[in-house]
Amino acid sequence: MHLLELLDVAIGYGVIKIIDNLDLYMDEGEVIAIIGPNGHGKSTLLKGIARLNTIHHGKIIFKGIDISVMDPHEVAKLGIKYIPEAGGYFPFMSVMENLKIGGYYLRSHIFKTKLKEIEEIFPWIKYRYKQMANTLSGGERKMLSIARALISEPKLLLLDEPSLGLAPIAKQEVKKAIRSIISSTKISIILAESELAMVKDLADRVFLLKNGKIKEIEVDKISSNLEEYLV
Amino acid sequence: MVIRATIYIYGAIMVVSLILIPIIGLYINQTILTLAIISLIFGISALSWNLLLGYGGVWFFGQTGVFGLSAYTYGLMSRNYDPWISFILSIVISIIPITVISLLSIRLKSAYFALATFAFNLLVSAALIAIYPANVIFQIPRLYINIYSYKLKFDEYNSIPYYILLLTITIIFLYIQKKMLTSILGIRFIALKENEDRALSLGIDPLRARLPFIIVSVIFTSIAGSIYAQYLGSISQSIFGLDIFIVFLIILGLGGIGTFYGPLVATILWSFIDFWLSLFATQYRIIILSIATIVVLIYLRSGIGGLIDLIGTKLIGVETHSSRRKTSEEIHYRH
Amino acid sequence: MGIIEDVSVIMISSLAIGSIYALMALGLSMLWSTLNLINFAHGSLMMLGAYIFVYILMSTNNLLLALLAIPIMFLIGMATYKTVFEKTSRMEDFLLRNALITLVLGAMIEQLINIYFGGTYMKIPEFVSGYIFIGSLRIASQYIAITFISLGLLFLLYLIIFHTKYGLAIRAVGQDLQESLLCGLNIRNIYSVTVGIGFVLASIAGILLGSIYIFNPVSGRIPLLISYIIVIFGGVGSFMGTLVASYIIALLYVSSSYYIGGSWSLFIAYLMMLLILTIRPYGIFGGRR
Repeated sequence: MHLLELLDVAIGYGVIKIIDNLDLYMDEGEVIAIIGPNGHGKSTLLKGIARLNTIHHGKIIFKGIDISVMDPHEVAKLGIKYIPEAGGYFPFMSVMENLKIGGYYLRSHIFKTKLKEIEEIFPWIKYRYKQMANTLSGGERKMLSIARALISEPKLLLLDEPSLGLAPIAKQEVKKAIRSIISSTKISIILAESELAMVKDLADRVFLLKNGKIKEIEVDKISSNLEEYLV
Repeated sequence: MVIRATIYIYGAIMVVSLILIPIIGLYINQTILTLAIISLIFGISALSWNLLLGYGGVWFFGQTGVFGLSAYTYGLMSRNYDPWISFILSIVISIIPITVISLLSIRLKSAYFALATFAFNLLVSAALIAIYPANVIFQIPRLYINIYSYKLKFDEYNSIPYYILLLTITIIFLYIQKKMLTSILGIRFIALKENEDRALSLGIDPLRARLPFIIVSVIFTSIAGSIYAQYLGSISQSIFGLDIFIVFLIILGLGGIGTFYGPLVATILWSFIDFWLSLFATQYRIIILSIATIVVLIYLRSGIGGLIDLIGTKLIGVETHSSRRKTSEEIHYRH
Repeated sequence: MGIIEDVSVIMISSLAIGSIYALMALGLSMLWSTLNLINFAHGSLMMLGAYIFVYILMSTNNLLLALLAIPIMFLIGMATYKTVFEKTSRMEDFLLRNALITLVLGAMIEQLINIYFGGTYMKIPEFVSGYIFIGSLRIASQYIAITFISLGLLFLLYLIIFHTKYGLAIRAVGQDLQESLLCGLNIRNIYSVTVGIGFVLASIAGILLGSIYIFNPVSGRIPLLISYIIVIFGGVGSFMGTLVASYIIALLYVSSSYYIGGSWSLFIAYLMMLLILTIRPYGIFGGRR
């Protein structure tokens, strides 16, 4: 059984369909990347899985459960954590409070364990626990949003353009963090990106999402020629 | 503008109200006329409130204050001054504080304006009770019309003039409402409600867009208040009490916020139901009506007026979308 | 009485009244900032709590049983959320609708109380009797007792909101709904509990006030207005702001009642509100809204 299956789904907002007739599947531990021009549905796809928009028809099955009719918070509780392009953290709370909310449903000893793991992936974070989230830099906020999702022992991480708007150094840090998540855990990841460098060396499979239609492409073909696909 | 079938239906209703009710009232049963008059008084106030609340999304909660203030002003002034002058004065007196409050708080978040106007009710009643502590004002003189030697008295034995007067005022109000809402003023007004941020970014000033409508609403509510005072002949502090306030709420809730004729329909409905209930369940009638209002507010998006809109045809020119169904992600984002 | 006595009386009154106002205003502030609910029924809820308390007290003569009024109000709050506000959230104009519903509810509660208890004045008997002497002042022990009770409850509320996980969840939902969803928080449950807490805070304030002042079904109206003035002054959603504002407003209210007279204090309070709205509508501590 696949971890996640999308069967002939149409996803959009209200009455507008952005994606139609989409099929996709992924297995546990996989890292897949969705690339494509902006506005063609990458975010919509991820949000659809997180149940933040409308599913017009089709099914999304996660671990055998049909999640297409669920509410966003139910889906989050099942272990699917969506990390949005912007936000993903509470600006008016401290770093520790953000993590505590992320790990809301964890027992306190498990929370402590997970906190240690987070500290390993983001070593800087242990010096910032008391700091208000909106005083962090752009890169740090992005990493906080990842940490917040990570601390809850997710099964599936949906990363929506994690490198967006970040300085090059920060992008490297984020990529490094994702890499260490991949190497140290069995968390499945769907990565939506428009920057190919982020996707390189990380993804097991790559898909191109254009005009609401998806197509798998060869991992090796991800070189600069692929720019042509993004136009 | 395309004239649709509704205009004939409403035209028929007008004929009925202009001809049938007075006739029944005069020759068959006086009560119908009294009910109709009270209905119209509350109806005008409810319609004025609806203009702000429903069409403009203006959180104006000062209705009872205005109603009571003009009733009191008219009652107190007309003992010493000419009824017509008192009438005008009561309107002016109501406009002033509301304008001041609007100047101060209309540009802020809706809730603040709501509180300022809601508190206005409390203050007006406290102030008036302090100024005139006696419980009741008696023998309030009525308006009169003196055209050359023809005297038309609005006396107790002849309710018809009041009925005609109120009917005329209602029609004038509906006409002004329609004209204003379909003018450029109305477009700005409704824009603020539909999408506040966008409207503001377009340079629409909440004060200038809303104040005309607020003033119109206050004018008509105070007219209703003054007429209420003189029709009853006496008013007491209870005018600021629950009874009238809840009536406005009930009418608005039942009739549908933001529908064109909803409040009127609800007023008629209310007056009959209330009358019927008062025959055997006086104490509980407010409770029953309140529960009914809440139920309607929860389940009927646009109240009874909306129901009529749904059943009947489109309104003449002015649509309302105060309660369209939300899309699923909006539901999730909100709740 | 000399100046020192005057000032002492005013200070002590402000402390007592301010603490009760703080409970009231915090309840209101929670409903406003977390659910976007402008609760016009807050005053009536105060009275409802007080009347339920009195009713149980008079029927059973047992103070502890009378305290059941508080969990009862909590349940009423949760039930109200589930039956009313959860459903209206589907509508586009639910904010206005909810505010109107609270108006109707408030009026309805006043009427209900009127029917069952009549309009005559009631008072909750003191839990502690006697007087305490501080210097040359004679203060009712009840007064001291309610001051301590309110301060204790305020501290408890502070602990719950800022030092428990559930309090964190409530704050999260009030700050950012979507982020809370992403973390898997059950918004509806949190909302219903928050409404319950709001109702409870109102009723506690009503019970405490009712033990030192007489009240009738409509006695909640002025406290409602004062609560809003406090919340606006302190900044919506700001715990500290609301707390500080409660004492400041209490001080102003008590002083003006003392020197000018009760009926004028309402006007002064209202003028203050208009002034605040003009100068600094987002509160002294700049609430989030």
